[in-house]
Amino acid sequence: MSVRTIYEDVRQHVGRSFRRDLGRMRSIDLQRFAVAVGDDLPITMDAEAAASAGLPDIAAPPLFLSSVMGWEAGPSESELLADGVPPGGLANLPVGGLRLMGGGQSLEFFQPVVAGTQIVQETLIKDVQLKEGRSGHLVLIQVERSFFCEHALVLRCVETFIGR
Amino acid sequence: MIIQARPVVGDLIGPVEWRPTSIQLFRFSAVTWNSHRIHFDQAYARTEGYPGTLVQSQLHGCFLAHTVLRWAGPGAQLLTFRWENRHFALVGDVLTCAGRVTAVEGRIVTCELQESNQDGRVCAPAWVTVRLLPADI
Repeated sequence: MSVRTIYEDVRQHVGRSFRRDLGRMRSIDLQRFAVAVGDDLPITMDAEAAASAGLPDIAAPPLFLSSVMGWEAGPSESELLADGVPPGGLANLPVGGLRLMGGGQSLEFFQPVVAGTQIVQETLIKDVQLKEGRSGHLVLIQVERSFFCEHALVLRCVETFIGR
Repeated sequence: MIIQARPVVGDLIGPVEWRPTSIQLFRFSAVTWNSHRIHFDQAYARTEGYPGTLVQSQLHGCFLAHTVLRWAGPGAQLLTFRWENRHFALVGDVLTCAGRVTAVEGRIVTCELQESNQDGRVCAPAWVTVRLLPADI
Protein backbone atom coordinates (compact mmCIF):
# COMPACT_ATOMS: atom_id res chain seq x y z
CA MET A 1 0.00 0.00 0.00
CA SER A 2 1.45 3.39 -0.99
CA VAL A 3 2.07 6.25 1.41
CA ARG A 4 -0.47 8.30 -0.54
CA THR A 5 -3.11 5.60 -0.10
CA ILE A 6 -2.45 5.42 3.62
CA TYR A 7 -2.68 9.22 3.77
CA GLU A 8 -6.09 9.10 2.08
CA ASP A 9 -7.26 6.43 4.55
CA VAL A 10 -6.01 8.33 7.61
CA ARG A 11 -7.61 11.54 6.35
CA GLN A 12 -11.00 9.90 6.79
CA HIS A 13 -10.30 9.71 10.52
CA VAL A 14 -9.35 13.35 11.11
CA GLY A 15 -11.69 14.83 13.70
CA ARG A 16 -12.45 11.46 15.31
CA SER A 17 -12.04 11.38 19.08
CA PHE A 18 -12.36 8.83 21.85
CA ARG A 19 -11.88 8.63 25.61
CA ARG A 20 -10.44 5.98 27.85
CA ASP A 21 -9.85 5.58 31.55
CA LEU A 22 -6.15 5.08 32.22
CA GLY A 23 -6.71 4.12 35.85
CA ARG A 24 -4.85 5.36 38.90
CA MET A 25 -1.22 6.42 38.54
CA ARG A 26 0.95 4.09 40.63
CA SER A 27 3.96 5.44 42.50
CA ILE A 28 6.16 2.62 41.26
CA ASP A 29 5.38 3.40 37.61
CA LEU A 30 6.21 7.08 38.09
CA GLN A 31 9.42 6.23 39.92
CA ARG A 32 10.54 3.64 37.36
CA PHE A 33 10.00 6.20 34.61
CA ALA A 34 12.05 8.73 36.57
CA VAL A 35 14.86 6.23 37.07
CA ALA A 36 14.85 5.23 33.40
CA VAL A 37 15.06 8.84 32.28
CA GLY A 38 17.66 9.93 34.82
CA ASP A 39 15.24 12.27 36.57
CA ASP A 40 16.86 13.18 39.87
CA LEU A 41 14.27 15.72 41.02
CA PRO A 42 13.33 14.89 44.64
CA ILE A 43 9.56 15.42 44.18
CA THR A 44 9.45 12.46 41.77
CA MET A 45 11.13 10.04 44.17
CA ASP A 46 10.55 11.25 47.71
CA ALA A 47 7.10 11.71 49.27
CA GLU A 48 8.49 14.10 51.91
CA ALA A 49 10.02 16.33 49.25
CA ALA A 50 6.73 16.26 47.39
CA ALA A 51 4.85 17.18 50.59
CA SER A 52 7.15 20.10 51.26
CA ALA A 53 6.33 21.30 47.73
CA GLY A 54 2.63 21.18 48.62
CA LEU A 55 1.84 17.97 46.76
CA PRO A 56 -0.21 15.13 48.29
CA ASP A 57 2.15 12.45 46.91
CA ILE A 58 5.13 12.10 44.59
CA ALA A 59 4.82 13.89 41.26
CA ALA A 60 4.91 12.28 37.85
CA PRO A 61 7.89 13.35 35.74
CA PRO A 62 6.52 15.95 33.33
CA LEU A 63 6.65 13.73 30.24
CA PHE A 64 5.35 10.56 31.89
CA LEU A 65 1.75 10.68 30.63
CA SER A 66 2.68 11.72 27.11
CA SER A 67 5.46 9.12 26.77
CA VAL A 68 3.56 5.95 27.65
CA MET A 69 2.65 4.18 24.40
CA GLY A 70 0.28 1.59 25.83
CA TRP A 71 -1.89 1.57 28.95
CA GLU A 72 -3.29 -1.92 28.44
CA ALA A 73 -1.73 -5.39 28.39
CA GLY A 74 -1.55 -5.29 24.60
CA PRO A 75 -1.54 -8.12 22.06
CA SER A 76 0.58 -11.24 22.25
CA GLU A 77 3.97 -11.20 20.53
CA SER A 78 2.63 -13.20 17.58
CA GLU A 79 0.19 -10.41 16.83
CA LEU A 80 2.78 -7.63 16.71
CA LEU A 81 3.79 -6.17 13.35
CA ALA A 82 7.25 -6.89 11.94
CA ASP A 83 8.67 -3.76 13.57
CA GLY A 84 7.35 -4.83 16.98
CA VAL A 85 4.55 -2.29 17.11
CA PRO A 86 1.02 -3.50 17.90
CA PRO A 87 -1.54 -3.17 15.10
CA GLY A 88 -3.56 -0.03 15.70
CA GLY A 89 -0.90 1.21 18.08
CA LEU A 90 -1.22 4.74 16.78
CA ALA A 91 -4.72 5.73 17.92
CA ASN A 92 -6.22 2.82 15.98
CA LEU A 93 -5.33 4.49 12.69
CA PRO A 94 -4.84 2.37 9.52
CA VAL A 95 -1.10 2.96 9.25
CA GLY A 96 0.07 -0.65 8.84
CA GLY A 97 3.05 -0.75 6.46
CA LEU A 98 4.32 2.71 7.38
CA ARG A 99 7.62 3.18 9.17
CA LEU A 100 6.59 5.54 11.95
CA MET A 101 8.80 7.85 13.96
CA GLY A 102 7.92 10.30 16.71
CA GLY A 103 8.48 13.83 15.47
CA GLY A 104 8.11 15.63 18.79
CA GLN A 105 5.44 16.93 21.12
CA SER A 106 3.88 20.24 22.09
CA LEU A 107 2.74 20.16 25.72
CA GLU A 108 0.67 22.43 27.95
CA PHE A 109 0.78 21.69 31.67
CA PHE A 110 -2.18 22.78 33.77
CA GLN A 111 -1.53 21.08 37.10
CA PRO A 112 0.89 18.48 38.48
CA VAL A 113 0.00 14.80 38.18
CA VAL A 114 0.65 12.91 41.40
CA ALA A 115 0.60 9.26 42.42
CA GLY A 116 -2.88 7.93 43.09
CA THR A 117 -4.53 10.24 40.59
CA GLN A 118 -7.20 8.73 38.35
CA ILE A 119 -6.55 9.86 34.78
CA VAL A 120 -8.85 9.88 31.76
CA GLN A 121 -7.38 10.41 28.32
CA GLU A 122 -9.21 11.96 25.39
CA THR A 123 -7.60 11.39 22.00
CA LEU A 124 -8.33 13.47 18.91
CA ILE A 125 -7.02 12.76 15.42
CA LYS A 126 -6.07 16.35 14.73
CA ASP A 127 -4.48 16.47 11.28
CA VAL A 128 -2.71 14.55 8.55
CA GLN A 129 -0.56 15.97 5.77
CA LEU A 130 1.16 14.43 2.77
CA LYS A 131 4.64 15.80 2.11
CA GLU A 132 7.32 15.21 -0.49
CA GLY A 133 10.55 14.11 1.18
CA ARG A 134 14.02 13.43 -0.25
CA SER A 135 13.17 9.76 -0.70
CA GLY A 136 9.51 10.00 -1.64
CA HIS A 137 6.24 10.78 0.05
CA LEU A 138 5.82 10.97 3.81
CA VAL A 139 2.83 11.63 6.00
CA LEU A 140 2.73 13.84 9.08
CA ILE A 141 0.03 12.75 11.53
CA GLN A 142 -0.93 14.95 14.47
CA VAL A 143 -2.66 13.37 17.45
CA GLU A 144 -3.90 15.48 20.34
CA ARG A 145 -4.24 13.85 23.74
CA SER A 146 -5.87 15.62 26.66
CA PHE A 147 -5.49 14.14 30.12
CA PHE A 148 -8.10 14.81 32.80
CA CYS A 149 -8.22 14.27 36.54
CA GLU A 150 -11.76 14.42 37.91
CA HIS A 151 -12.84 16.41 34.83
CA ALA A 152 -10.03 18.96 35.26
CA LEU A 153 -7.57 19.18 32.39
CA VAL A 154 -4.06 18.46 33.68
CA LEU A 155 -2.10 18.08 30.43
CA ARG A 156 -2.61 18.58 26.72
CA CYS A 157 -0.18 17.02 24.26
CA VAL A 158 -0.10 17.39 20.49
CA GLU A 159 2.29 14.80 19.07
CA THR A 160 3.50 14.59 15.49
CA PHE A 161 4.27 11.24 13.93
CA ILE A 162 6.24 10.91 10.70
CA GLY A 163 5.36 7.96 8.46
CA ARG A 164 7.37 6.79 5.47
CA MET B 1 22.70 23.24 38.97
CA ILE B 2 20.43 25.76 40.72
CA ILE B 3 20.00 29.33 39.59
CA GLN B 4 21.40 31.76 42.12
CA ALA B 5 19.79 35.03 41.07
CA ARG B 6 16.87 36.45 39.20
CA PRO B 7 17.24 35.24 35.59
CA VAL B 8 17.62 37.75 32.80
CA VAL B 9 17.35 37.48 29.05
CA GLY B 10 20.47 35.88 27.66
CA ASP B 11 21.27 33.75 30.72
CA LEU B 12 22.70 30.41 29.70
CA ILE B 13 21.07 27.08 30.54
CA GLY B 14 23.35 24.08 30.76
CA PRO B 15 25.20 22.56 29.11
CA VAL B 16 24.15 19.19 30.47
CA GLU B 17 25.48 15.99 28.91
CA TRP B 18 23.31 12.91 28.49
CA ARG B 19 24.84 9.61 27.44
CA PRO B 20 22.09 7.15 26.46
CA THR B 21 22.99 3.51 27.00
CA SER B 22 21.40 0.30 25.77
CA ILE B 23 20.11 -0.32 29.30
CA GLN B 24 18.54 3.13 29.44
CA LEU B 25 16.77 2.59 26.12
CA PHE B 26 15.59 -0.85 27.22
CA ARG B 27 14.22 0.51 30.49
CA PHE B 28 12.55 3.48 28.79
CA SER B 29 10.88 1.14 26.29
CA ALA B 30 9.76 -1.08 29.17
CA VAL B 31 8.24 1.67 31.34
CA THR B 32 6.47 3.22 28.36
CA TRP B 33 5.33 -0.17 26.96
CA ASN B 34 7.00 0.63 23.64
CA SER B 35 7.88 -2.56 21.78
CA HIS B 36 9.20 -0.86 18.63
CA ARG B 37 12.25 -2.96 17.75
CA ILE B 38 14.18 0.01 16.45
CA HIS B 39 14.94 0.93 20.07
CA PHE B 40 16.36 -2.38 21.30
CA ASP B 41 17.09 -4.68 18.34
CA GLN B 42 20.27 -3.57 16.59
CA ALA B 43 19.93 -6.05 13.72
CA TYR B 44 16.42 -4.81 13.05
CA ALA B 45 17.47 -1.14 13.26
CA ARG B 46 20.03 -1.85 10.52
CA THR B 47 17.29 -3.17 8.24
CA GLU B 48 15.75 0.29 8.44
CA GLY B 49 19.07 1.89 7.51
CA TYR B 50 20.26 3.00 10.95
CA PRO B 51 23.72 2.15 12.32
CA GLY B 52 22.33 1.17 15.74
CA THR B 53 19.38 1.36 18.08
CA LEU B 54 17.66 4.73 18.25
CA VAL B 55 16.95 6.92 21.26
CA GLN B 56 13.17 7.15 21.67
CA SER B 57 11.48 10.36 20.54
CA GLN B 58 10.14 11.09 24.02
CA LEU B 59 13.50 10.42 25.67
CA HIS B 60 14.94 13.33 23.69
CA GLY B 61 12.16 15.43 25.21
CA CYS B 62 12.93 14.15 28.70
CA PHE B 63 16.61 15.13 28.38
CA LEU B 64 15.64 18.64 27.35
CA ALA B 65 12.89 19.07 29.95
CA HIS B 66 15.11 17.94 32.80
CA THR B 67 17.92 20.19 31.68
CA VAL B 68 15.56 23.14 32.16
CA LEU B 69 14.11 21.89 35.46
CA ARG B 70 17.57 21.31 36.96
CA TRP B 71 18.49 24.87 36.00
CA ALA B 72 15.22 26.34 37.25
CA GLY B 73 15.60 24.90 40.74
CA PRO B 74 13.29 23.25 43.27
CA GLY B 75 9.58 23.86 42.85
CA ALA B 76 9.79 25.12 39.28
CA GLN B 77 6.97 23.95 37.02
CA LEU B 78 6.83 23.59 33.27
CA LEU B 79 3.95 25.52 31.75
CA THR B 80 4.59 24.76 28.09
CA PHE B 81 7.19 22.59 26.43
CA ARG B 82 7.68 21.81 22.76
CA TRP B 83 10.42 19.93 21.01
CA GLU B 84 10.99 18.61 17.49
CA ASN B 85 13.00 15.54 16.59
CA ARG B 86 15.26 16.61 13.74
CA HIS B 87 17.97 13.94 13.73
CA PHE B 88 18.22 10.50 15.29
CA ALA B 89 20.54 9.67 18.19
CA LEU B 90 22.11 6.33 19.02
CA VAL B 91 23.33 4.42 22.03
CA GLY B 92 26.80 5.74 22.79
CA ASP B 93 26.16 9.24 21.47
CA VAL B 94 26.98 12.16 23.74
CA LEU B 95 23.96 14.46 23.72
CA THR B 96 24.47 17.96 25.03
CA CYS B 97 21.47 20.07 26.03
CA ALA B 98 22.04 23.80 26.27
CA GLY B 99 20.11 26.98 25.73
CA ARG B 100 19.37 30.47 26.92
CA VAL B 101 16.65 32.59 28.47
CA THR B 102 14.70 34.52 25.84
CA ALA B 103 12.12 36.34 28.01
CA VAL B 104 11.36 36.97 31.68
CA GLU B 105 8.01 38.18 32.96
CA GLY B 106 7.72 38.01 36.73
CA ARG B 107 8.11 34.36 37.68
CA ILE B 108 7.57 33.18 34.11
CA VAL B 109 10.73 32.44 32.16
CA THR B 110 10.83 31.54 28.47
CA CYS B 111 13.78 29.61 27.09
CA GLU B 112 15.11 28.06 23.91
CA LEU B 113 17.29 24.96 23.98
CA GLN B 114 18.95 22.51 21.67
CA GLU B 115 20.05 18.94 22.08
CA SER B 116 23.12 18.30 19.93
CA ASN B 117 25.24 15.22 19.39
CA GLN B 118 29.03 14.93 19.65
CA ASP B 119 29.40 16.05 16.03
CA GLY B 120 27.49 19.25 16.71
CA ARG B 121 24.43 18.09 14.82
CA VAL B 122 21.16 19.31 16.31
CA CYS B 123 18.98 16.34 17.23
CA ALA B 124 16.16 18.29 18.86
CA PRO B 125 15.44 21.99 19.40
CA ALA B 126 13.01 22.91 22.19
CA TRP B 127 10.97 25.87 23.41
CA VAL B 128 9.99 26.06 27.07
CA THR B 129 8.02 28.24 29.46
CA VAL B 130 8.68 27.58 33.13
CA ARG B 131 7.29 29.13 36.32
CA LEU B 132 9.82 29.61 39.10
CA LEU B 133 9.10 29.59 42.80
CA PRO B 134 8.88 33.10 44.30
CA ALA B 135 12.02 32.44 46.34
CA ASP B 136 13.97 31.91 43.14
CA ILE B 137 13.56 35.43 41.77
